[in-house]
Amino acid sequence: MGPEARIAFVGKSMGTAVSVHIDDDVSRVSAERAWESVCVFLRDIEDRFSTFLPTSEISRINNGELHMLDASPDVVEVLDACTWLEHLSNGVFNARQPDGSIDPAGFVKGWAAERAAGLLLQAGLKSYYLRIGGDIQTHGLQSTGEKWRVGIVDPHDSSRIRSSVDIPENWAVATSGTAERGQHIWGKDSLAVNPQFSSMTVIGPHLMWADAFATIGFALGGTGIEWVEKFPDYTAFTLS
Amino acid sequence: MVNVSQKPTLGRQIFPAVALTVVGVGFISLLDNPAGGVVSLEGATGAVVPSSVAANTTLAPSPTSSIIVPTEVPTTLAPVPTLAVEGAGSCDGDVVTGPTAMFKWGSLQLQATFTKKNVLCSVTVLNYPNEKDKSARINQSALPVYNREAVEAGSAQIAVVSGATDSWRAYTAGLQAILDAHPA
Repeated sequence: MGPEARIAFVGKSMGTAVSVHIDDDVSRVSAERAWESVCVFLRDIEDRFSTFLPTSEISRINNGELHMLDASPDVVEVLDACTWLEHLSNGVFNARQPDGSIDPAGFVKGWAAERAAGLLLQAGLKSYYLRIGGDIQTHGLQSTGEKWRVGIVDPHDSSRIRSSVDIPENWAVATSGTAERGQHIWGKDSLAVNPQFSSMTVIGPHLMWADAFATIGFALGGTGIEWVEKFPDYTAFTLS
Repeated sequence: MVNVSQKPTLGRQIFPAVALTVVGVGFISLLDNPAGGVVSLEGATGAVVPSSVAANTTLAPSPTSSIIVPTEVPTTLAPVPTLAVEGAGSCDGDVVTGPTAMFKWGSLQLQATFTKKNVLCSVTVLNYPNEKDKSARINQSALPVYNREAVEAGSAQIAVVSGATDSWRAYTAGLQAILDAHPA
């Protein structure tokens, strides 16, 4: 089977693009069914986590209508993970906004993408990647037998690629940079200009952590790579 | 150790994550201000964290993330900082040890001490991830293979691109949209 057999789907979720590329030798119908399960899942996540929807669990927690302990297990898990990351990052990662409300959006995207990629595996697929807004969870190898080769975008020009990396099987890649500054991070150093580099890419087994580590590592600046690489199997590199 | 289920009405006054956060932030403050040594836990006063509730703070590895399971990281006992609540009175009441919260990369276990009037007066971090447990460096093949300026997507056989510009608008103007429209 050649790479021309790859099936791709594109959708929109959480304000950004979601795409899935499938290299398995499966029927179009099977691939579409798997993609549909991803879409249904991501719609559900948006319904429950979006701060723009007054009916979401996060909005209802912020409005005092829902106690955190009565939230769904997924919401509790995400908030726990945010707490853990805040602890590990000395407060650089923070899911609480200055007004005291919570917004775990900075974590939810990578977490949801990893979960969504797991749905493809449950659908019987083995060679694929799922990407949400520059964060990628891969599985298996390309149909050519090669590792998934991920291009790292020039932080100053998204139409150019500055670097590329061959991802070990089943690993994930996430990049954080100037373009998303202020969207995720309300930590104490979030407004400081990062003089060392313009983007940080983190690769590792799990997208939920790679994404969060890239966010934190970028915010940390000069000590970011060292911080990320404290975690076994996670590695970081930067572009100036 | 006591049976904290005797006080169910107080059980929901605080979300366990808040306790973890308070301890985390307090611990950091303690590290930042070793001379001070006393950290105020505003808002936590009077809260009781029953073990049945605290158990919810365990973040198990995502059950649907069947990607791969990393090797368990051994954690070693770190120095034990104690956060005291100023003016809370003597810590001569219940001592409640939370469950060990097993996070992906380490564990976190808290021990809270109360006064006789069930006011939270100190929280101790019993263990803490040890930064020296980093495993062997990853394989060199995972490091960037190209680092020259302007590698073109086609010539480098790039399958997917990662970048920080993650808005829908940036996507439509970027390389990934091309890869999605013309897979491989």
